[in-house]
Amino acid sequence: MEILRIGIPGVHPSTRTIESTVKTYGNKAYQLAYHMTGSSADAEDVVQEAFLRLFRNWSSVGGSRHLPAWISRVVTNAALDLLRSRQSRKRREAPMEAGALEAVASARRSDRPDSRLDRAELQERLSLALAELSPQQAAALVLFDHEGLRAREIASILNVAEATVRGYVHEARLRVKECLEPYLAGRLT
Amino acid sequence: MKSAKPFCDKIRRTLNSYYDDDLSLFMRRVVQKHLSSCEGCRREYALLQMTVETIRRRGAPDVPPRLLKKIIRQFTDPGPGGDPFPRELRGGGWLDGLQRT
Repeated sequence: MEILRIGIPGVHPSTRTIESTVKTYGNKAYQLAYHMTGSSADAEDVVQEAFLRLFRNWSSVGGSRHLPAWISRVVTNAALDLLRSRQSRKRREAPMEAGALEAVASARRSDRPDSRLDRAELQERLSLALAELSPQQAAALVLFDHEGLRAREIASILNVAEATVRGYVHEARLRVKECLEPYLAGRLT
Repeated sequence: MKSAKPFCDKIRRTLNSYYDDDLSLFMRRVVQKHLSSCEGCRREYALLQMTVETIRRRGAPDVPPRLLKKIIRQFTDPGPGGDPFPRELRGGGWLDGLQRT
C-alpha cells in the first residue's frame, strides 16, 4: 500500500510532489486562466481542471523542467474547453449581436469626446474586446503577447500550424486595436 | 495625383510582423522608410504598439490561497474508507486493478 501513498514514480505524483507543484505553479496557472477567461470564478474552475489533467497525465510530463510548459498547455486547453462551451451556450441562449461592442464604444465616445480614459476603464474595454475574440484567438493572443511564448510553442499547445498562430495573433490584435482605438487615440502625441 | 492609399494598405498589413521583428531586412527597411514619411501609417503603428502594451500590462489577481488548499486536499486526502489513492487520479487500465487488490 505504501507505494500508492507516496505515488508510483513516473506514473502518479506523490503527496509531496502534488503539494509543491500546486504551490509553485498555482499562481501562474490562475493568472493565465484569468487572462484567458476574464473571470475569477472561471479561472478557479479552469485551474482545478488543469491540475486534474496534469496529475492524471503525470507519466507524460517527463521531469520538472517540462512542468512550466505543461502548466501552460493544460491551463490553455482547460480554458479553451470552458470558453467553447460558454460560446455555444451563448449562441443557444441569445444569438450574439453583431457590432454590440462597437455600439458600446460609440456610446462611450460620445460620452467622452476627449477620448481620454483612465486605466481602469481601459482594462475594462480590453476585457470586453478579449471576450469578443474566438477562444483560439484569445488563447493565442494571451500566450503570445502576455505570456511571451513563441509561435512554435503556442502551435504545439493549440495543435495548429505556426502560421495559424500568427494569423490568430494578427487578427486578435487588429480586433482589440479597433475596440481600444477610440480611447488610445487621445493618448497619441 | 497618384493616391498613396494602396501602398499604405500594403504597409499596414505588414505592421504586425514589423512590430514582432518578423520581416526580412529588405521589407523592414521599406516599412521604416514609409513610416518616416507617412503620418497616417505612423499613427496606425503607434496604435498597434499601444494596444500590445495595454495587453501586456493587463493585470490579474493572485490566486486565492483557499483555492490552492482545496486543490491540494482534492488530490491528497484519503478517499472514502481511507483509500490512499485519490479518486480523481484513478486512471483506467492496470492502476484500477492495482487499486482494488
